[in-house]
Amino acid sequence: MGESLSFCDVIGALQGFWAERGCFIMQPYDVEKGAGTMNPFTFFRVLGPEPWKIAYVEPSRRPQDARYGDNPYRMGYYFQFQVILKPSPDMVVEMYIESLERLGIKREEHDIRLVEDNWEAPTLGASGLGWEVWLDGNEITQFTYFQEMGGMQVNPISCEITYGLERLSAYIQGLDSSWDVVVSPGLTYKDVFLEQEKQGSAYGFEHADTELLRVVFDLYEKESRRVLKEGLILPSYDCALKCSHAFNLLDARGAVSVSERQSYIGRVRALTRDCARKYVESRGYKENA
Amino acid sequence: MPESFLLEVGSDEIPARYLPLAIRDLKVRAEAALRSARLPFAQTRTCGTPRRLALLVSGLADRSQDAVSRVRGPSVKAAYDEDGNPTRALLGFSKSLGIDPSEVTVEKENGGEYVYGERREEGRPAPAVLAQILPPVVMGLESPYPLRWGDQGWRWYRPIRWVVCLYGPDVVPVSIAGIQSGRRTLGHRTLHPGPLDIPSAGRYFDIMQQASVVVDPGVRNRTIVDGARRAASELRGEPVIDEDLLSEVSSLCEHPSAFLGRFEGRYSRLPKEVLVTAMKHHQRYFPIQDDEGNVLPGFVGVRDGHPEKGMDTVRSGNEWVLRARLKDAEFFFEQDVKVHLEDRVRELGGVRFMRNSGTMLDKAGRIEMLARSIAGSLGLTPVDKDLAARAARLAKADLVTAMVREFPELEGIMGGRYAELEGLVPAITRAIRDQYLPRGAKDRLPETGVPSAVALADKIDTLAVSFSLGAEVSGSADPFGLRRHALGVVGILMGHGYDADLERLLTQPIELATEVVPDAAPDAAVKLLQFLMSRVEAVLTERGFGIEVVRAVLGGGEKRIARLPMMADALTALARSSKLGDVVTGWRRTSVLAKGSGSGEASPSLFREEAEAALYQAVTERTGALDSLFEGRGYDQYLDVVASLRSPIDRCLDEVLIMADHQDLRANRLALLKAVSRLFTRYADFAHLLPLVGREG
Repeated sequence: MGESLSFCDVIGALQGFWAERGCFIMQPYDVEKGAGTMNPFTFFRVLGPEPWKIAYVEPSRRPQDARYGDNPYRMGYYFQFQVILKPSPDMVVEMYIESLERLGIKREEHDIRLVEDNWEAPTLGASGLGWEVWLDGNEITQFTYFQEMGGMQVNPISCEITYGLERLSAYIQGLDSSWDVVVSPGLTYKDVFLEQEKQGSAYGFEHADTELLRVVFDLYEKESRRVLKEGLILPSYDCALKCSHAFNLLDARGAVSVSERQSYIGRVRALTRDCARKYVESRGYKENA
Repeated sequence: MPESFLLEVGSDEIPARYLPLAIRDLKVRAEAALRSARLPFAQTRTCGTPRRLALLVSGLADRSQDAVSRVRGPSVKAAYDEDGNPTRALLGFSKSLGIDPSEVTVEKENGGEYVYGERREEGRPAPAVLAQILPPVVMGLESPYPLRWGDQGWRWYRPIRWVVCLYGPDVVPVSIAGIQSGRRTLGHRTLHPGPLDIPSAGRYFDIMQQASVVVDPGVRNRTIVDGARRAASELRGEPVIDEDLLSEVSSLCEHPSAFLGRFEGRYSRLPKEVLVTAMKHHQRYFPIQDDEGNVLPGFVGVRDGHPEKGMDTVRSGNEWVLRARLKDAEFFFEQDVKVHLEDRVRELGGVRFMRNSGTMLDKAGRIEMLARSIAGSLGLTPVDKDLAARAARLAKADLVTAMVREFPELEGIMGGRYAELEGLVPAITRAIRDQYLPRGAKDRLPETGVPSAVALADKIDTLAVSFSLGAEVSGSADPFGLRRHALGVVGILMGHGYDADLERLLTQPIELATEVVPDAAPDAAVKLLQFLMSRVEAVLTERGFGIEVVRAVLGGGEKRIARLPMMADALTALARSSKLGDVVTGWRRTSVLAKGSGSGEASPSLFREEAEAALYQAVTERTGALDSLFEGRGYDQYLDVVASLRSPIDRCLDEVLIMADHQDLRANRLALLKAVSRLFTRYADFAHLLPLVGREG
């Protein structure tokens, strides 16, 4: 694919592209989360009528997906590039294809297909309809029109575009493994992240203190509820994110039975739902749930 | 003058599974709407791609037809006052029709007199009619998961982006999902990424060709099939093309171009099913096989784009993905074969079965027992009973293999493969492989013998546990796929003709379920049997038996369900013969009185009348023959014999006072009738055939 872009170049190109289209290029949010959608600047801002356009790189932590660095694409800590466009613009798919061209992917030389994929995030009470985007058979992007967030129907509809940065870069660079991706001249992804992945996997699967995590979950749940009563919606949501991460670790440790799993997910969903409701109320949005 | 008409609705990519239906429904809805708007046309045609649905109408009239309909108004009493002047009711009525009150006529109807008027509707110009009828035609296309977009609350498969609407050369102004129609369409996303104007409806296919869009799905299908054959021939093989995959692939592109991809020969040693799953389900490729059915190291992919330009990049990209998947699969396979299935059974203790019903290890224990006893009920040998138990114990072990965790759709199949590699006997490997069969109404059944015993054990156990948990299946609510399980049970028993009694098959599974489910529902057994019998009803109805016959045969006592089609056959024949009346009358006369009477046997010493002794004798003489006909499935003859009881029954009931004052005589007579009626009721509930009497022949 000619001179290939480094991981860093890919991020730079996407940021440039979306900044030109009026997006605020945000920096990652500093609380652990399983996906970019959980970022409060997405979660809350897709509620209500105000337009919102942002793009940001978001690290995602999914202890369940960790593989000690043995799997070429699956990892417990990785990056998403996330774009939120509200309301969803008319020619958003075309815009997305143009963003690929910015990465040197000429549309006529590839196969770009949109394959139905509908999405749900039970801890956020969120769902959306959309596609996976296949580039020459590789799933490189998740493309979603949000339909619900925090258990409420959203209106207007936001569009979320999530690029899988490791996969996309590995493909652009013609590599079999994300770990070999060049992140900047002379430096590969594994040089930077492999040790963290190994230790993170060992922690999540073998060493995390499950008793402590249960306590952490309970304490943050309580804190989330307490501060929400004080009207502190965003701090309450931060606590909910802490709960979600504690649960993910417990789940990876195999410390959660199937029925317990449902109950933990339900507890996180209740917290995020209450935050969303309070937010909608405090902003004076017309309830449309 | 009639003209051609075109409607093209452009959108973001419509999901492949909805596209064929959308194309079909658009035609049906459009024709219905044109007819009801009285806008004559010669022909309609619909086609489409993921990005557009098109409706083409030839010979569409330029005006809708005038229509005159007669409308009933108020009664004459209400229409005129005493002096014969029109009342307000009549004035209102005629005003609503736009006629003068003097124009109404009077007609008699159902004994009353009413005024009638004519409603004249004048035809309107086609564009005005179309602007009115098209939006609901399009927006009413049904999607199970419609998407809302923008801020106006529109809902459709995916957001609508443009609308072309042309009557001959002219734009028909219409607004669909807030979009004004025009003549501007968009070309293929990558081959012609820009707008094109369509000069007139008749030029649609030309313009689509210029736009690099193959708008006809039939043409896309043929292009794909031809291309796939050509590509596969490079490997001296044939593409494996199943209809569902072809339809999906065709619905994922506007300009299909097939290409050959390859993978390293070493992956060919992976089980065929793994290769096929990775290719078909995950990547939508067509596998390639040789004459002997071996999977060759290559695949046919279909690109949405140019047949040559950039094809090497597309090919190597696709090969890259598949290679990564196969590499994963190879790793899983190598890990998996290191551990024997028997050793994996223990790990099942860490896998939940259903909520509040223990683990898969518990389930393995239950189906081990059940498979053994079900094998007995199916008449298998002691050796096969052991094999069934052993296969059932190992059946779920593949759930904890890496391969099935990665490719859940391979459950059972992988277990069967691994069992083969361990050198287990074919009866066991096939039983593990076939345990989930049949997966749907048209799927194949598990092999007879051991595999069927295991498949039944698994399904009945799942059903028994679910019903003990109080599961309810209604309408669309069927979270555990219980309908499919039930249909599987019924399908195996009926399809293989097993003479096992369904009701008895449920006893042990329900008992075992009660042990594992806390507070098991006390009516689980009854409800489960009802549920299964409702599936039997569906199967019989589907086989074309009349509803009266189906209900009749289900109302009898027979629970060896494999017999029911034969019994229904005989009943169907009976319903067409002159003997129907004999049987139904015999049943009715004996069972009305016998209903509710006690058990007890009739004793000849208590007979006082000749007619009752004669009936007794007629029945006694025939009982042996009837029993062996019933057991031996001689159902036509059975019904013949039963029909021959009509005259002794009639005579007895005509001549003998059944409800005699003398208690012993009465009880004896009722016992006789009871015995006779049982010959009918064990076969069917003939009440359902009553409406057919007199219609036979």
